[in-house]
Amino acid sequence: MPIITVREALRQALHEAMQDERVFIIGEDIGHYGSTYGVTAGFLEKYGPERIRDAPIAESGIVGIAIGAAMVGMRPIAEIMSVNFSLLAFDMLFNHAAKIYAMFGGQMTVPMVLRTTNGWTQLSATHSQSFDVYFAHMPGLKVVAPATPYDMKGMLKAAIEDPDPVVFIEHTLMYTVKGEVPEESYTVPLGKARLAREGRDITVVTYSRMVHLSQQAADILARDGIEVEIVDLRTLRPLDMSVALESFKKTNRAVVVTEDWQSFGTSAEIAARLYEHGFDYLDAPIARVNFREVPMPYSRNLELQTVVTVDRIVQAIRKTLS
Amino acid sequence: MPDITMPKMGFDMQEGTIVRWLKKPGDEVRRGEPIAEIETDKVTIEIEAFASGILTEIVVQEGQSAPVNAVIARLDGGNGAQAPAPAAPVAEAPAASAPTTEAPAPAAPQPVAETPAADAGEIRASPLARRLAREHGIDLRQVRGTGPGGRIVKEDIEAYLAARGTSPAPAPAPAPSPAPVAPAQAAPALAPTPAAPAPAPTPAAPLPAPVAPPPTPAPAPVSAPPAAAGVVTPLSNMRKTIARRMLQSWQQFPHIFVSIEVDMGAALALRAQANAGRAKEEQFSVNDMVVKACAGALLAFPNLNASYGDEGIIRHPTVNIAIAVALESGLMAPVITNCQDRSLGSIAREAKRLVALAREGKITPDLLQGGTFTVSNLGMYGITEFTSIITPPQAASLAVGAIRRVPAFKDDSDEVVAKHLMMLTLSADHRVTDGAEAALFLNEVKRLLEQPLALLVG
Repeated sequence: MPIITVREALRQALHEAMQDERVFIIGEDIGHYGSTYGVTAGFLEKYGPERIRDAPIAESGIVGIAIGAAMVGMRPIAEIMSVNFSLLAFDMLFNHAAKIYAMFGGQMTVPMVLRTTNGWTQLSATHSQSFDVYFAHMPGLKVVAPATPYDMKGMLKAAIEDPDPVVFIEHTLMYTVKGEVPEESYTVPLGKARLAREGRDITVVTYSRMVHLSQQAADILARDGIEVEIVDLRTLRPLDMSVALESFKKTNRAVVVTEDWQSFGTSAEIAARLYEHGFDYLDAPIARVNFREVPMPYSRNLELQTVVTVDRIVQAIRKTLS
Repeated sequence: MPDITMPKMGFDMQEGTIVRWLKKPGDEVRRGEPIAEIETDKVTIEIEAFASGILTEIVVQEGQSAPVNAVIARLDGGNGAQAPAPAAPVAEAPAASAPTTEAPAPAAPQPVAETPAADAGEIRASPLARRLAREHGIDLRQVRGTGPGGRIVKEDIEAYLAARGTSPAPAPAPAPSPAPVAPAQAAPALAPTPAAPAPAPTPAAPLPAPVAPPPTPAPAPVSAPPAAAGVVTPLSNMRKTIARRMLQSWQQFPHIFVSIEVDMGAALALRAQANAGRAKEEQFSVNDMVVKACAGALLAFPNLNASYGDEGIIRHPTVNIAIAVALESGLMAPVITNCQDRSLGSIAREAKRLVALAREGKITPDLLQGGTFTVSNLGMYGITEFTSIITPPQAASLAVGAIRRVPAFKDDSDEVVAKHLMMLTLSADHRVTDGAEAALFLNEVKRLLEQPLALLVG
C-alpha cells in the first residue's frame, strides 16, 4: 500500500470528490496560489475557476455561499485557511448551517463541508487557537478531526457525502505526517472512534495531532514496561465513547489529551463521559493534558511551555498510574 | 432493652466468633455472669453480661462471626440501668443496599446504632476499589491503601484478596464478612516450647462444614478442587491469623538468615548447678537462657529490637521477647515484656506463667501484644536447625535447635571430647539490618551462652 502524506491523502479525497459535478471548492488562496498548505495545488488548472473559487477575505461570505449552494443541491467544500478566521463565520455556521434542517421542518439539509486547520508555530495569540469545542458544542453540526492519512482521506470523502454540515478540522503540523493509504476510493464512517494502540495499563483518549504525540509518549513508557492504550476519537460530534469506555473498563485509568485550553474544553466533555459511564471502573482521577491557560505566546520558548508536549503526556500518565 | 454487643478484647480486634452460648433465650441473666464464649484472632474468652435481664434473642449464632460492637444478643425486662453500649450494625452494606448515608439521630426510642458510616466515608478508595470490595464482601477499613494519599485502589483489593487466599474473580459474596485483620503484634513464628502439646481447651468450634450451614459467613470461600475434593477443615481464627501474618511477612519482609553454633557445655553445667534443689516451678530452662541471652544481645544491638517503617527504622524502648508456644489448635506467641530489666529467674517464671495460660486457653490479647523479637524452639522435637518467619512488625526472629552431644576437637588440639552443640538461626528483616550486623548479634548471643555467668548478673 502506498505511503503518502496527510496533504496527499486529502488531495486524493478532493480529486475523487470532484468527480461529482455538484462538488465545488471555495476559499481564500485556494486557486491561483494553490492554497496555503498546498492541498489544492493544481486544482484550478484541472477543474477551472467555476469549481475552484478564489474568495475575497470574507469568511462569513464564504460560508454563507456554501450554505446557500448546499441548500439548493450542490456539495460545496468551503475552506477557511485557519480556524482562527472562522470566528468571522460563526453566525453563518451556528445560526444557519447548524439549524436549517431543524428550523425548516426537515425540508432541506445543508450538505456542506467546512475544511479548516488548527495549528501553531510562532503564529502568536490570535493565530494559534483551537476552537474544536465551539463547533462540537453546537447541535446540528458534525465535527471531524482525524489523525492519520488513511482517516483523512476516508473521512473527508464521508464528510462530503454526508447530508449535514460537517466541520473538518485539519492541523498545520500534520500535513507531512505519512501513512498507508490505498489508492482506491473508500470512506471511513463519521462518528466512530478507533483503537490506535493496544495496552493494558492506562487509556489515553485523544484525537487529531495528539494521537501522534501520545504514541511517542507510549513508546517512551513502553521502555519501562508501561503499556498505554490509545483511543483516537476521530469525530467529536457525534462523539463515540464506546471504544474509550471499553478500554477504560479494562485499564481503569485514563488521561485525556487535547490541544485546547482545559477549562470547559473538549477534554472536559470526554472526561465527564468517562466519569459518568465508567464510574464503577474508576481507579484514579482522570488526568488531562492541554494548552496552558494563556493566550499563546509568540516567543518560541514560551510557546513550547504552553503547548502539549510528549514529556507532559508522559508525566501525566506516570502520575495517573502512581 | 439493652443489647449485648461484641466486646473489643484488644486494640486490634476487629471481629469475634461466637464459640458457644452459655445462655439460651428465656434464661435469666445476671450482671457479671458469663453468657458466651467468643473467639478472637488470638484467644477464646468468656464474655460477661453487663446488665441483668432475660435473654430474649440471640442475634449471632454459634459459629458465626460479628464485628466489634455489633449486637450479638438482646436482653429484656431487666433492671439494666446501665446504658446500653453503643451498638454498631454490621458496617458494610451488601451489594444491593443503598449507599450508606450517615444516619442522623434516630427518632425512634430504640438505641439505634452509632453508624460507623462516617468512618467508612472517610476511607479514601477509588470507585472501582469500592465496587470490588462490595462484590467480595471486603470491609475497606481492613485494606491498606497504597495510592496517592493512601487511597485504596484496585491493586490493594487484589493484594488483600490474594493474602486472604481468595481468587479475585468476582465472587457472589453472600454476606460481607470482614476477614480479621489485626494491625500488628502477636501471632507467632514457628515452633513450640517444651513438653508435649497439651490438649487445647479452646478448640475453635469449627464451623459445620459439610452440612448446609446457616448463613454462616465464610470469609474465604474455599474453591473446590477440580476433581475428588479432599476434606476441608474450616479455618479457625487462629489459623487465619497465622496464615495472613506469615504470608504478609514472607511476601513483604526480605528475610536474611544467619546461623551460628553454640557450645552449650558451660550453660548446661550452670543450669544443672543452679536448678539443683530448687522446686520445679523455680527452675529455668535452656530456652529461658536463650531468651535472657537474646535480651542482653538486643541491648547491644538495638537495631534488631526494631521495626521497619516508611519514615525510618523504629527502635523500641523495651525488649519484649515473644516465645512461640505450640498448641493443638495452632500456636501463639505470648510476650515476656521488659526483658531488659528481668533476671533469668524472672524470665523463667514469666515464661512458665504464659505457657500455662496459653495451654489453658486463658491467655488474654494483651499478653500477645507488643513483642519486639521472637524466640522459637524446636529442640524438644530433635530438630537440629531450622528457620523461622519474622513476625511483623518485628525485625528479627531466632530459631533454636536441639542440643546435640557430639565428638569434637577440644580447642586447637587434636584431642576429641564430647561437646554439647546447639544451632541458632536468626531471621532478620534485611530492610532494617544487614548480614554483618545479624552475625555480630548472634556472636553476642553465643558469647553470653558460652560464658553463662553473665546471664546471672546481667
